[in-house]
Amino acid sequence: MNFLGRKKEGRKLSGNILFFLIFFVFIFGLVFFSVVEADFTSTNFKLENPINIISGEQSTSPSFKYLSTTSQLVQGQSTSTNFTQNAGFLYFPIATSPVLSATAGDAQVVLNWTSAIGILANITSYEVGISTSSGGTYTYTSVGNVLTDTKTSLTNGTPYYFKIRSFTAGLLLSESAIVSATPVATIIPPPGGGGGGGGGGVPPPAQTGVIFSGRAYPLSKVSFLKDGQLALSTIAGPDSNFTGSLTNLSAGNYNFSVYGEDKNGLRSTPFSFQVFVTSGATTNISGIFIAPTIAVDKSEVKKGDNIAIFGQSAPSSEIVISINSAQEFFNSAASDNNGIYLHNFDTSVLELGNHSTKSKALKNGEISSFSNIVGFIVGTKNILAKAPEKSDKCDLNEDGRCNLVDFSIAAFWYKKPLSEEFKLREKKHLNGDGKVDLVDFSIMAFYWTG
Amino acid sequence: MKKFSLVLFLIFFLPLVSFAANISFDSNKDTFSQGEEFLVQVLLDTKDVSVNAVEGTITFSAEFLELKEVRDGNSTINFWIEKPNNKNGNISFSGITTGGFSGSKMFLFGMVFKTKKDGNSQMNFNNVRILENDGIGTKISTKEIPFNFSISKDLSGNKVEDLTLNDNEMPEDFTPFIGNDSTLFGGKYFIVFSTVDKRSGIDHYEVRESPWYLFGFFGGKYVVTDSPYLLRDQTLKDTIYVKAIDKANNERIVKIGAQNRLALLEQCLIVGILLSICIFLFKKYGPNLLR
Repeated sequence: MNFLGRKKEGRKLSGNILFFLIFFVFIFGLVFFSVVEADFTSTNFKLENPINIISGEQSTSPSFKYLSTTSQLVQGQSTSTNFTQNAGFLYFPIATSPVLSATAGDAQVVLNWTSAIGILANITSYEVGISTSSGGTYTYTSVGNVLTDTKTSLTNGTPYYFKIRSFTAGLLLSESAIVSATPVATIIPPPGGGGGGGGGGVPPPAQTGVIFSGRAYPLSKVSFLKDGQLALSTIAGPDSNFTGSLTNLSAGNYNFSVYGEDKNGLRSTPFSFQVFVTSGATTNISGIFIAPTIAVDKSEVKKGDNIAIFGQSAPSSEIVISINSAQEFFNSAASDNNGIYLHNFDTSVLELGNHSTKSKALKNGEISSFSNIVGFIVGTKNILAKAPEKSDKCDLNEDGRCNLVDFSIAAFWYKKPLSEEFKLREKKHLNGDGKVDLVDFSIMAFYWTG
Repeated sequence: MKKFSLVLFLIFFLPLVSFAANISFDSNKDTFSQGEEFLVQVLLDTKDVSVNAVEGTITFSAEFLELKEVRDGNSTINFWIEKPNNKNGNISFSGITTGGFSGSKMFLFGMVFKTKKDGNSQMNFNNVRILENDGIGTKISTKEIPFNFSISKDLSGNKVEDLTLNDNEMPEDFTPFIGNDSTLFGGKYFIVFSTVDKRSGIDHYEVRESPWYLFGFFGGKYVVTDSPYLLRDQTLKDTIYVKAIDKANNERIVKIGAQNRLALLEQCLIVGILLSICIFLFKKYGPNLLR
């Protein structure tokens, strides 16, 4: 090979190296800029490049801790029948706040709470906190994965404050509101006979009842059902807080449901719980956080256009909105002073077809359960949704409510051939299979308003 | 190798075979004497799933047992579609709880049996359906746990605690509704009602329609009935009283005023006429009477 040939070959080699260099820089840049989402900063640390930590563990310094994770290339959720993987940056599990009820007894308080519902986690244990002052230091005891506990050896006449914390594998997920109860000594009535004397006397026995408190929507109507019957309605304050009480109850198990109606008359999902009411004692049930209402502005949205998701909750709450698709998207919005929230969701990330959305609220460390589910279609055109309406499910006599009248009508047709007229109603208000059976009654129990 | 494969199979696949709910019988013992009464409770463990509708059938051998009583006081079920009742050794039941419930020992109802003859026998569940509180009535898989028991040749007069002895509380307060629907009673007005009693349970209901012209206080007889009850007065002018009576004979009466406002006008008219007659009579005969 002559000099000219070698020079030519050298240039070709340099050209190839240069090409590979440019290609490498391009690919590196592409990967770098596509994966590095943001720099994370605080007054104590700055994390410039999250992807440099790829060992799947954690990096720490005296003032910060950074957890890394294994992942796949697409951010979102992958599922199979056996596992769920949440890819991308870390997803944080949360749980609804347990609703705690406290019934005072003689030197004791019986505590019952509702299950905390974990999202991206299963609740594995609870802790019961006790204090003698509301804002004081709480002493926590792990009680395992149970929904009841009795605190004994308490001092009669002293108010005690309790709260419940839920955990998944040692990680704190949610906390209940604080509930107070004051143990009282059992009054033994004096034996009969005798007479005379005066003054003093035995104080009247305490009423058997329940006091509810929680938050709904500002100035909203809140309804309480006792064993499926509408027992009480009240109006929440401008701060969305409500209280209500039921007295003259018998001792026994009760199934209570509480639901709210927003400014448009939309009803929330009911919050239901079972309580054992003790004779001669008042049970305090606090921290009921009514789920937000939810609606959408379009029944069908053109792919790529925004869909408005809105509703009402407690004022100044953080609203977590879930959009269900092949993968679930979580977005957040803030409610205003009237509890109104609005989120415009860009549908370009959704596939064509049916989707649904639901929301939940977070405020002062308390987390509500999920709202009703609202469906919409991602398609090729925009169709405005009708004005938000109350559900007509279960409402067989079409009076705007689902109660004993509808139950009686359905019970009349239970396991009987339906008339042509009733078939139409069954299709509209129940599951539409042309018969009335247990499934239809299950639908009624879900949509029950009392 | 086969054993190893079996162990692997058990380790990996058994956890997948899980039941979402258990329905079982609960009794304080499983060996009884002849002539002895015992209580069996039907309990549901929902395994943290919120459920709202339950139905099924319980079978027992009428050769060994006699069903004395069904107790549904303090039941988790709010509304019975089919109250538990005995039909030839089969106890069918179906009911709902509005808003759903979950828990490990949810009481559905109890049964008081009396043993008849010695031997071994079993109580079983059949056709149990438990539906999830999800708005579409999804069926959840349920494990039905039978109750095996034996009856000895010994004789016993043991009885189950009589709940009516210590029950002095009225049934729970309730609100009846008046309705009409073209598919029920030919579109005529009817009244529906339901309540619970936390101790001995509801025995029956009675309804009285007091005529408007007697001001809703007098007249009309209580009629033993069930809900829904077809109203005799279709003008809705009468006052209706619904009485719920528990098994200990404690009763709660709920009054529903006239729905038709004309009743009030007509009552005022009657009062006016009566007053006019009184004034007329007083003017005519009053002075003489006062003398």
